[in-house]
Amino acid sequence: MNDILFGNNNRPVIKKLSNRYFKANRSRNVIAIIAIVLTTILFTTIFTLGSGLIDTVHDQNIRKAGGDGQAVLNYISDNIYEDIQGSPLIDRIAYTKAVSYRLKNSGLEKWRSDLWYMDDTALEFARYQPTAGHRPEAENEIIADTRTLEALGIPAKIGETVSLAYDVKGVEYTTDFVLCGFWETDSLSNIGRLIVSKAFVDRHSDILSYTYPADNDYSGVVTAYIMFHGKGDVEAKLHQILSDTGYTCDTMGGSPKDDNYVIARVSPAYQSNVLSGNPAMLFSGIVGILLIIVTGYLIIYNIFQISVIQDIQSYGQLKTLGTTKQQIKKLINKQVLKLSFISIPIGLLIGFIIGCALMPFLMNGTIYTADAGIKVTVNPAIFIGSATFAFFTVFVSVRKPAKIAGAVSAIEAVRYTENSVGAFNKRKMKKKKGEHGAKIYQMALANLGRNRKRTTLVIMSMALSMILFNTVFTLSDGFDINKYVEKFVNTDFVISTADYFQFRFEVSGIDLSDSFVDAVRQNENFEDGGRLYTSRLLEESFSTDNKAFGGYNTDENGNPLIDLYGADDFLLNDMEVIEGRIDMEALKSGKYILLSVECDDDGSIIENTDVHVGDTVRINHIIMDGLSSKTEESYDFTIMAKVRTNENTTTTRNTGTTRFYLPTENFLPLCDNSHLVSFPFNVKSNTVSEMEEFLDHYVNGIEPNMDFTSKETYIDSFHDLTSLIVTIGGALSIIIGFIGIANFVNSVLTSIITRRKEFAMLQSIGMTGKQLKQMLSYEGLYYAVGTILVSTILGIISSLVIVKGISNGIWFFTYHFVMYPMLAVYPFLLILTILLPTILYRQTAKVSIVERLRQN
Amino acid sequence: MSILQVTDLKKYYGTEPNITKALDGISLSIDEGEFVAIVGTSGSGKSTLLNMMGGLDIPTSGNVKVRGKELSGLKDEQLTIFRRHNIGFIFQNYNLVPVLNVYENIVLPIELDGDTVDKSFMDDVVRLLVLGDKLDNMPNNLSGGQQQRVAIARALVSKPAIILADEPTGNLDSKTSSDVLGLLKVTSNQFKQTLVMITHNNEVAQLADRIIRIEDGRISEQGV
Repeated sequence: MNDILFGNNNRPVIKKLSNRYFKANRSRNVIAIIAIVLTTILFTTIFTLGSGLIDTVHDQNIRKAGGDGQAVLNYISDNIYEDIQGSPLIDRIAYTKAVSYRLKNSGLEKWRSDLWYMDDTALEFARYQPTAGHRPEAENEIIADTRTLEALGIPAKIGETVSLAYDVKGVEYTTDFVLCGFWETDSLSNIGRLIVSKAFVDRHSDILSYTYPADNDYSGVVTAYIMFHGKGDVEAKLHQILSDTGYTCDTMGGSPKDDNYVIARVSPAYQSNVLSGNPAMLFSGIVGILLIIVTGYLIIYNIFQISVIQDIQSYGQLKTLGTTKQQIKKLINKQVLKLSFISIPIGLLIGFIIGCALMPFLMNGTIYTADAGIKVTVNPAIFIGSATFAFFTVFVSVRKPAKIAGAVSAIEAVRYTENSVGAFNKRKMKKKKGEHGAKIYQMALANLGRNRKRTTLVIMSMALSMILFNTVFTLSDGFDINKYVEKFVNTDFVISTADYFQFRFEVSGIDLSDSFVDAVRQNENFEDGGRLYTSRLLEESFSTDNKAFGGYNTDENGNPLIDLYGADDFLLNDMEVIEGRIDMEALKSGKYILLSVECDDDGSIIENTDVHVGDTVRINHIIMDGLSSKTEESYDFTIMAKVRTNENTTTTRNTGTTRFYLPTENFLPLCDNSHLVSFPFNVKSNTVSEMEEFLDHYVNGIEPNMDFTSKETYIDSFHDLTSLIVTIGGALSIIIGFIGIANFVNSVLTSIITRRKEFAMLQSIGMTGKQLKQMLSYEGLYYAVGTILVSTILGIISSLVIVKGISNGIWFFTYHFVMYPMLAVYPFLLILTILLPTILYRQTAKVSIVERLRQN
Repeated sequence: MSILQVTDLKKYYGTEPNITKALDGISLSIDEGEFVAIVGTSGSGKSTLLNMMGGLDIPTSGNVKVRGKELSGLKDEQLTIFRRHNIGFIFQNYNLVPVLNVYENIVLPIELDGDTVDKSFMDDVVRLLVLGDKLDNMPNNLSGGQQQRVAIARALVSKPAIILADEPTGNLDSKTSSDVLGLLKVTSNQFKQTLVMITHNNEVAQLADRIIRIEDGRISEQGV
């Protein structure tokens, strides 16, 4: 193409030059490709982990929610369903109807399973599609998940008879169904499903009528799962549908007292973005990306800086021949582009594989689990994002070297040698005082000073991985197992009913048996324990007239309901007093009460009550009858202390209500029908495994309704978490370490190549090969010493400032200053930096002195 | 007394029929304290001869004896050490170590040997070459002539058996050239230093006690 303004088309010649320079710089290309590949790997790994996390959490949330669907309408009637289903906003809607929540078959004590009808859409949303057999059609057909069948003792085989005993609105029925299909139980779901046909529900519509508002019975209630058209705010669409059809829900300001109230919510899977909902995760992601950009910059900049300086004379020549600044820049950029096109796809592929491999570790560190399956979709965004960042890093890194090449003065470039930086600035080397002679180690030091910038870059890039490595271990070291476990269970064991551990204390029909408690007490390894009592909300409850204790549930007078517990001394003694002081004797006088304060994860108090020690609270005893309540007698107590209690040992594991504690002997008389919640206890030292064995045996053989949990379970989950940090952080520091080493190799190699002639001269005046290698080893040693100094200083600073800062936000973290990971790596660093230069030198020393002397 | 003896030295590159005979049977002898100029055109083989004499290159056949020691019998490492003790090099482009100052450059061969510097000899050399006020300077702060004077000092200071100078004034203007050559002659006289200089410049060669001419790898004129 000929251009009128500029006359000629010089693209082909620039292309040719660029290609020739590219070919001439083979060793630079190799190292640049390694550098870009590693940088891209880092980006892709981070992006894969991020995207995999979002996908997996979304997927697992859907499964936990019991199925897909952006919004859920719970406990509605067929009428409401009919009103809503026609809305034009709805893309798909799934219909389910509960048949029974109370299955009486033996075997279902520890594995809860409910009896439902679900339409085809619902089966699809819930992923209950039979993997063998077909959906139930005939009235006597049923499908179930494998774990439920196992619990029932029925083989997973089509045509088996499933004989079910179930309760519908207080009446027990027994039906023989025929198994027409089943599916594998989702490892995430903690309840099973038995699903009957439409024919069955239609046939029994009389007993499956909607009576939930009157009797709180689930049989006959409809749950609808909705998928809306298009993207956008799910909550707004839900509100739109409800208001269009004349209903209201919580988030629209409705209350259960309203006639048109429905329980409607947005599914947690669609509620908020995982990342924006998790600032720590987002923050680590951003820090990670910045770190990679810096690491990538350090090496890629260095590579091209070195390469440009090596080629500077030819760039000067090009200038004398009339090549413009822009053309020289283009020349370099074209080479960079070519390198990127080779390296980035490789990096994307390897990074994706590494990311997928690390995914299970990441998931285990979250509240989600890897065992339940990990979902990493080959999301184009991962590759587009990583490639963009990699390109960005590469081009930022070569901007300066390209500018140097473009700006070189034609005359000075010819005179340019590495030492006389004269081609770019007029800095002359200062005089060096002293006549202490030319010791090899001094020469080596002086050699590093030839290009201070390069030396600094190499040292920084090696130090970076050291610092990261140290940070990883400081973090994993600081995780305090005691603090962590204490938060979950502060006694060795907790025994209770199987229902309790499935968070079904309120609806359970059984209590922790005295026989189980006695069996434990009689065990030789038992040390001390205590009982926890409370009431069941559906039978009786307590309220307080103090409105400071806001709650969702209120009595008929609008007073918030509270949880009132009776606890043995063992539990009371264990409570941590926040305000006031516990005087056991006074407490047992019946005039006092303990108030439990709500705490967040790191144990800091969420101060939500304007109630203090010494204040009097009136506690009303409420008798519940279905959803209606009746206040009986009232008692006044003085708050003796505010305490911090353990969620998993001294509560029913239901949240959202203010908790008060009384000594057992004071609590029991207030209650019509008290229930034994749990029995937390400690064992004698070193007998945890014996006790565990005993309990295991007991709950499996003697009382299958009972169950237990131990500290050990949480200790394991703690180790999962630390191994997450070490694995992912370790992997990243190793890759960054490789980049640092590559940077070092590149610098040493080019410095050897550029000094070939100088070495030949030194040899011609009598420096032996051994002395030369010694000098190079000293140079390596100084790099190592520099790295050690920088990483120690910056490592200490980053540990004290950054790690300590981050760790303040982690509740189970106890900060210790840690240096040993760096100290452990230093010897390897020293060996590597001392050996590598001599190995690299050997490659170049094959050319004879005379030939090297001749080179210009 | 002969300090350097070259006997039937041959250096061939390549194989038949494309053989290049850089040196084709050269024999010569140089006496102690003598200043010899080896003159030849570009490609005549004079640099190859110099490299052979300095033990930098290995001949195809023939041998070089320095102080009666045959170089062909030495291993690479031994040769380097032999060079350190017996040969001083002066190159056309000075070849100073850029990271060492003038003093350090001069004493480098002695330091490499782990020896201590002969202070008074060093002072003499420095005074003769007028480098007294330049000892702390770095090479890139010096002019070409000054740099070559440093290179001369470096070659002298280890008192080698023989100094080999390869076009020592090739990069210098004519005024500086004659200054440097003058100093080279004066110092080698003063210290009774044997000096072999390669040049293509007849005028420069006239300074020498003897001129040996080389053409196509053979000696065409031996001088007296």
